[in-house]
Amino acid sequence: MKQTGICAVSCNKVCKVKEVPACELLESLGIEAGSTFCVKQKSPWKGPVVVEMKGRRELAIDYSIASQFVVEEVDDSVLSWQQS
Amino acid sequence: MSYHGNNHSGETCSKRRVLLMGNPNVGKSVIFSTLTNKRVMTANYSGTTVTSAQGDMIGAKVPTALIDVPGVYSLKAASQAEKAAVDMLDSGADVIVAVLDATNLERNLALAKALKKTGIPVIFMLNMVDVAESRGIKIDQKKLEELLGAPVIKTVAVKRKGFNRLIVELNRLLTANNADVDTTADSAPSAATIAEEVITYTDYEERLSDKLERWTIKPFTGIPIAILIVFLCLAFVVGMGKAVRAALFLPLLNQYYIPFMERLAAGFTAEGTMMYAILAGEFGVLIKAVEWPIALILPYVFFFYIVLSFLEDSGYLPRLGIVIDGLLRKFGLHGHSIIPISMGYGCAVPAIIGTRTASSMKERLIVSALVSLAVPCIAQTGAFIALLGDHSFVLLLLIFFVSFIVMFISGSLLNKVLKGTLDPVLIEVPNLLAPSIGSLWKKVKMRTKHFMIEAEIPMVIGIVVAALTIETGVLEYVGFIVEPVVVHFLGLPPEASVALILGVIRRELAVLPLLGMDLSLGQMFVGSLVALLYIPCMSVFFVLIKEFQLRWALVISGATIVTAMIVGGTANYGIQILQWFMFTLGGGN
Repeated sequence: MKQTGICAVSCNKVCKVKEVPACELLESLGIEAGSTFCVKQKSPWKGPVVVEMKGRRELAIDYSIASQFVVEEVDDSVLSWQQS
Repeated sequence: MSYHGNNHSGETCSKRRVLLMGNPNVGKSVIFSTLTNKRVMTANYSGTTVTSAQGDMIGAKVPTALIDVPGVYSLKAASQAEKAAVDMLDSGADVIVAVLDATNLERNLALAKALKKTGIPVIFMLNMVDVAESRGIKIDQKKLEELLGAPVIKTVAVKRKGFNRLIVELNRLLTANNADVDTTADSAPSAATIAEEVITYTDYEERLSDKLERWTIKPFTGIPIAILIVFLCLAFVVGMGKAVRAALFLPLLNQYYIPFMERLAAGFTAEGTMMYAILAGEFGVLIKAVEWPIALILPYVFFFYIVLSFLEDSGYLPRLGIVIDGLLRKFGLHGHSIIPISMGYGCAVPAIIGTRTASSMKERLIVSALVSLAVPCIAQTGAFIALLGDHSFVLLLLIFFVSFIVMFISGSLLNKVLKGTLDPVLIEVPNLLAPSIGSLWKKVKMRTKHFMIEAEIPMVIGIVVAALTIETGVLEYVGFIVEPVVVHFLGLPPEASVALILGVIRRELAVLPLLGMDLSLGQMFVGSLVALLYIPCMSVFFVLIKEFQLRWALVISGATIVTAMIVGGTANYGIQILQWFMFTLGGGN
């Protein structure tokens, strides 16, 4: 599947992280290569991208950081936490 | 990195130390307040605690100090908060109470494991289990205890659930021999594995609160919601404040208090003497020291803090920050700056201290400068409402409009001039929660009390200065300085310079003296503008020195005075030109 930055992923699509930008806080917040999340919201004027992660947590990621990610869109079915 | 656990027992300090630790926004400060009866600021977003608080623990069998450590994600000492947390660990602790957010367990587990590794006995509080359960997240507490090798207590801190067991466990650890305590947890599996083992997600239907959460961060719905909320807040504060004043404070003041004080002053000295004027005249201390802070300002302060505390506890502010982050960046601000700025509409001092959560110095300086320059504190807003609100609501709104314009212009300028970058946004979006009435009331009470203590003494000093300057005629001696600026450039009467002198002491004192001066609408507007932008107040000046050193405090204060004069003078000439046009056009007809 094709690889892009998060900003290119459309809303409500699930993606898997391939490469994480150099930012220490990201790791502390639980984002590392291999994590999956769903892109929920892209704010106007290059505002932050909101993603939903495992455990129904939402994270706002700055546009500049979000565009440095390399992610891969995956099937919705990977989102195990949204199923019973 | 080395941690010294229980090895300070032979040292001089006899009190046991318990550290309250955890990720940001998991409820540490609520737990701290409950366990110590000490009030610390709490809110539903990360970074509310910027300095550590310490208090004596209630219910401990041996004297114990509980320390509220700022929230951290790890012990890597990457940010200021993490450095502080590591320092506190290094200086020794008997027990760590680690707070875990049940709605976010997996992320919290990384820190939980790091804390366990320090070798200090840990008790885990699994907080917000009620919210987690309502979201279909179930956590197997027994299994979690087993995997972490430490007690795990389910709690709902805001509802005071789970504290009894915590105190029992704490006493057990505090009185136990260190040798008895199991501190070996290196064998614990990875955070992801633990999460997998203990968390089950059940079927979950979207509720109204989830829809609301979504709407607040979507621009199409988020911006109208933001405008609606700002409007509702404004209407609530102004409406309720005015109603309470009109129904309660003003009648009490005019019918009972003022006549009483006038009689009292007349008993001391004859009407018409200078002593009488200072006690009960135009700027009489006995009257104004009660009328200004209590009858004019207090109602607005009270209702504003209800609104601010509600917004803080609901978790709405960071959401607003996300929606308008892109827009604010153009003006050198950051979505998260909306939090210190909203606090600044209450008082600039906590707002400036609150900028400590930002790791970029540039951002701290911009927010602090803007709050000092163009954000009126609630006391000053109350004074604006008293001065302008009764004459023209449009002018009142216009003051706020000018305040925004000045903020945007100076923000953009500072953004260009100052070196450095703005922090990127990387925040966990807090859940929208209905604030608990109890903790809301505590916050409002604490803040209102703080205002009364902070405001009353400077206000009395200010009023004495005003009474003395006006009644003794000192103004005439300094007229050569006052005349060109206040009278010619700003178009205000010479007495208005009293307001400018007093404005240095407190922000609202730059406005309140104008009340009794019989000004034209244009003069009121110019006076209010100058007061708004003018040097904030003594407390703000000292906070600026403390946070940024004297040099920046002087630069910011100097800049505010210059801006105030330029904007005030421009407004004065603008109004005069407008009047001249209207007069000539009107005369021509």
